Amino acid sequence: MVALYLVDRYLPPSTEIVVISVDEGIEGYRPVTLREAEKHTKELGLEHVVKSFRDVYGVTLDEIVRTLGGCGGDKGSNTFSPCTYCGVLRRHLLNRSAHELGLDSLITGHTLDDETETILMNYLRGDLGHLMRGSPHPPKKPGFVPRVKPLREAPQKEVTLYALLASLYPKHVECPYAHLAVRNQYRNLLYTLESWDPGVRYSLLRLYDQIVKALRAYYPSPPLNRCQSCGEPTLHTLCRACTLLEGLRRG
Amino acid sequence: MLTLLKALDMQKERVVVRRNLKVLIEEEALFDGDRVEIIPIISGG
Repeated sequence: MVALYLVDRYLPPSTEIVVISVDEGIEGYRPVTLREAEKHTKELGLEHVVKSFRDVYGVTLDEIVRTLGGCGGDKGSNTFSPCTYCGVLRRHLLNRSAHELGLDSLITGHTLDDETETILMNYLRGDLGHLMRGSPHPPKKPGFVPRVKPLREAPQKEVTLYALLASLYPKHVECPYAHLAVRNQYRNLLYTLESWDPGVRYSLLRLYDQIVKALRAYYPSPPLNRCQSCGEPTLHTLCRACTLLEGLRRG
Repeated sequence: MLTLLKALDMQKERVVVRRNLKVLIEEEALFDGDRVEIIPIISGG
C-alpha cells in the first residue's frame, strides 16, 4: 500500500494508474486485504481490478494446499510449499493482467529485504539463471511487462514506519501460509548478519547490481518461447505456471 | 530497547517499538513502568 501511495503522490498527474489485486483464494486473509485495497484505491480515486486464481486458473490456493496434502509440501514431502504455487501463479497473473489492461509497466512494493533475500537465496543455491533474471531488468524483453520497484532500496522496517506514520498500517493478519516460505530462513539469516554488520543488505544489493551488469556480457539472455498453453513468455515449451497447474491436474 | 528485544528473542529488523504512540529508536532507554507496543513488520501483500 505504501508503494501505491508514493506512486500516486510522485508520478506526474497525467499518469494513468490501475491497481491490480490478486485474489489467491486464502480464506480468512485475502478477503480482508481486498476490502482494505478497495478502500484505499477508492480514497485515491483509482481504478481497482481484482484478478482471482479461481476465475483464471479454476482453483484457489486453499484448494491447491488441500490437493497437496496440507501445508508444508507436496503430499508430505518438502518439494513444494504453498508459496511456490502462489508466487509463480501471482507473477504469471500479474504479467498477463498488465498485458490485457495495456499497461506500460508493473509497479510492485518489493523492499530492500525482499530483494536481498532473493539475491542471497539464488547465490547460496548456485542458481545463476534466476540470479541473472533479477532486477534491475535488462532491456525490455518481448512478452514481459517491465517491472518497477520504487521501494527496492527501502528496508522493510522503514516502509512499516512510513505506513504507521501515514495511517496505512494494515489491520489484517499475515498470510496463514507465510511461515512456510523457504525464504524465511534466508530473511532470518540476513537479519542476523545485519545485527552483526549493519548495512550488509545494502552491500549485498550494490555488489549484486555490479556483478549482474558484468555477467550480462558473458551470459546474454536466452531466447524466449511462447508457452504452448497460455502464450506467456517462457524458456521452455510450457511456462512454470502451466507446468504446476498441469501437475495438479494429473495429481 | 535492544535489551528488551534480546530478552524476548526478537530480531530488531522484524519489529517497530512504540511508547505512548511514539516510535522509539533502537538506542532509546526504557524505564520501569513504561508501557510499550511491539508492532510486527508484515511483509507480502
